[in-house]
Amino acid sequence: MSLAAETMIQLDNVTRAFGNTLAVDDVSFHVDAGEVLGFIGPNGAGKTTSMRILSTLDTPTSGEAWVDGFSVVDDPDRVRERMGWMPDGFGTYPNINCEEYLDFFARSYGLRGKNRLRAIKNVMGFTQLNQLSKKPISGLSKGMKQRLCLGRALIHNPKVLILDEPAAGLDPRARIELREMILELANEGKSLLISSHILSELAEVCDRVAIIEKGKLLAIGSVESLLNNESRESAGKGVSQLEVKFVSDPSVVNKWFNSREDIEVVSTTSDSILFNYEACHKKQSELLTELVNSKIEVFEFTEKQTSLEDVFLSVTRGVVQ
Amino acid sequence: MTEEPSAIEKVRLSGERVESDLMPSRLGSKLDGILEPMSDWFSSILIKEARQAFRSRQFVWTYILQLILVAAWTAIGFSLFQRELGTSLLLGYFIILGFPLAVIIPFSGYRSLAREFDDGTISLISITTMKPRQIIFGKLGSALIQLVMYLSVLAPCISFTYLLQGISIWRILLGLLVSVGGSIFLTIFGLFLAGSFRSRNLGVGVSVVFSIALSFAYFFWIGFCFAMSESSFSRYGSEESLTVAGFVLFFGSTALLLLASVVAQISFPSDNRSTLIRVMLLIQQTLFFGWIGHLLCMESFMDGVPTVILLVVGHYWLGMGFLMCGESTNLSRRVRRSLPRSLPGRLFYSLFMPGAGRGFLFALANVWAAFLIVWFLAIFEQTLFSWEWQGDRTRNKFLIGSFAWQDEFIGMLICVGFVSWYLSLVFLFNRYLLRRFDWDSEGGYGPVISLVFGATLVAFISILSFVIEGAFQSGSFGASVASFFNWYTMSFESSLNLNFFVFVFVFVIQAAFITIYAVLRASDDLLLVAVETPERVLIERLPAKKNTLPVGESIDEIFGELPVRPPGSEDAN
Repeated sequence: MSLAAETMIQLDNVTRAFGNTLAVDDVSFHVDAGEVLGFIGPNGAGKTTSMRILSTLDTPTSGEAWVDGFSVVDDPDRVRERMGWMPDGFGTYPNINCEEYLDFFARSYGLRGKNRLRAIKNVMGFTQLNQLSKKPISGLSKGMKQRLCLGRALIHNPKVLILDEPAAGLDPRARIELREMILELANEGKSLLISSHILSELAEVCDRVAIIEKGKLLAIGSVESLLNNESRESAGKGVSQLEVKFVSDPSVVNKWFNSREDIEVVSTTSDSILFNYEACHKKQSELLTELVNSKIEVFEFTEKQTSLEDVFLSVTRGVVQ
Repeated sequence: MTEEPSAIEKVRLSGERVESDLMPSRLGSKLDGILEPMSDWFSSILIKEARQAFRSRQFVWTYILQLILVAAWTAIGFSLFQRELGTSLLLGYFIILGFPLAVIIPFSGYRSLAREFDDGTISLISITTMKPRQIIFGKLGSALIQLVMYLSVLAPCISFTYLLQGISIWRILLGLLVSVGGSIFLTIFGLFLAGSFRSRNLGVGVSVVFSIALSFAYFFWIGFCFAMSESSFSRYGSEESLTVAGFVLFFGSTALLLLASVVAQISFPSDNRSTLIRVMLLIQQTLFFGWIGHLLCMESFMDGVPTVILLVVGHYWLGMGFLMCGESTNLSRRVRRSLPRSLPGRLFYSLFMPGAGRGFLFALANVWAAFLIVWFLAIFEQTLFSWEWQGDRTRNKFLIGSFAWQDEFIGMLICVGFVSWYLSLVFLFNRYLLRRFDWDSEGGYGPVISLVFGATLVAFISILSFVIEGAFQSGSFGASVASFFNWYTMSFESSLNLNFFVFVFVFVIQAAFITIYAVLRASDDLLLVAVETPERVLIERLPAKKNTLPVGESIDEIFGELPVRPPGSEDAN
């Protein structure tokens, strides 16, 4: 079996119940070697519970979960050797520095002697913590702590990485750097399962995304296929969302748009208007001509592209009661 | 104009610099170079905890304070106590030593584990390849290191007192045994508490209660020091030494049981969390009977003692049995892989496996085994004493068939009968509720609910029968029948008020029926079917796979290729 086709994470009809509440409800998906799967869902959707099951911190009420062919319930020790988990909290210790923190986890994963020292060195290099090796963890910024936690998850060189909200609370620069690190790890052949609320970022790093709400898996597929499906669905309704930016008097522009019965205004600002109109490009071209002929000074006329947010909203809207 | 280094060069440069920071051989310290490889032999938790502990203000201040107090007490001792100088100094040293050992170390141990739960770091260490027992033993090990550090301050001074008159080596050893042993026991108890009460809110209350309890333990220690300074503790064979041996056995075996419990508490749900605990229970019972047997060689049984022993053992197994009856009935595939394949092996080993039915049978088997042991000991003791000391053959009346023996025997039998009855009732109650409300899926609360229900049942029936008996006065039929359900009065006063046929008709038949029915229901759980271990897991367990990296690649293969961004581009937050 080729590496690319090797399934590294697999969930088969996994259900996790807490009393009468189904945190995860019959969820099935898989992640191949070298693949990055984004896990999207609102708070309480069941993302973290699914990840905790895969991380051998919880067991499913029913169903099976596998990491590299090993059951997370029956062989948690094998799974732990292959899996690195980064929770949404930092999980750091007082009175120790970065190097000692990584050293502790390297030892805990059974790395000994030079292997341990080399692993610490490489992880510090990868996460750019080498200059801060002697700095107490309590003195680190949030971004640095996040890197340290990623380093901890990587210290034993796992095949599979499970990252729960890795970009939460990071500034834009730290987020970009984290994104680059994730892409580099995926290029190394590691399989990644990432949950995040920042959907635009997931779209950039994930090969596929899975959308979950109230424990149920609503959609799964490549980002492109989900976007295309959403676009096709909109096109099937014959409606596109358009945005016009202008330099004319907004009241005049609003009056003109409101007078048109074939236009549904979505939102307005002092220099732009967002509205739904027919998806036909010829009709859109005619509308632009009419706008210009009406003495409205247009400097931008665009059809809004479907984003992962649109897909997410569309998929989750009213699907699960 | 110098060229910007390529990405690969940046990696190499960065790597070299880090290596110089991390590799001990380049630190210029040969000592570090020697110690670094040696540290691989120690638990990672132990190393981390030791690093944290020795940097904590609490340790530094306690250590300094201890040094100051020892110096001050030595000076005061030499100036004030002319007579019995050694005893006075030793008393003071032990009191000074007692505070860190009885309060600081156990509380540090408790907080160490409780903080893991509070901060969520227990999840991070749980998913490493460390076993739960390594985590707990690492915590205990760091407490022991602190203990050695505190002891190192006092050890020279305590040794010095031996040179002064009036101090026996036994007294010093007893003091050290109790202080060190007590500290270890309290630390283990602290770890057990931290593992049992994981909720942050509950943890605050437990912290307060535990710190108060430790303060009391310290006051108890002070009292013990005064008593020790005034006693003439002699060597092995004395009454004190037997008492000490009893305490050591009790606290030692309880400490092992608590350790097994806290390890089980942090183990993965599909792990076998019961067998070790059951083995410890068995060890504790064995030690108890070993101690009783040893006492028998020195002292004769008094009337009623066998029943008291069974009453103690009965309560023990009742409590443990109630907890075991609340266990989940499901046996994970992981556990079933380790089952023996032969029928006798399965039948015997099954009793040590997790599960309510198996736990019930284990407790029941132990209670009846205790009954047989006490019976044997009683016969042995009578024979021994009649042969060696008494020279009176009539003392063999304890043997079966003797009328005088009947009272003791029936008292013991009633005691075991009540334990069996209560265990059966609680087992059947749990079995009904487990199926009715599906407690198995909730996990964790079953044993506690079972224990509370069982304790309430015992208390309710005993008090109710006592009240009815009091209300109707003894002598009436209603009062007699009520007393049949009182374990405590029946065990000791069976000879006084036992109408044998009524008792058999009212209590024994239904108790026997309930017990037999419960045993039959529980027997379903005994014949477990083992499952095969997947071939891939077996291959991984082969010795050749040990000490290799998990994915079969070297660290260099992966990380050697990883690009490292140049330093200086870190988050500036």
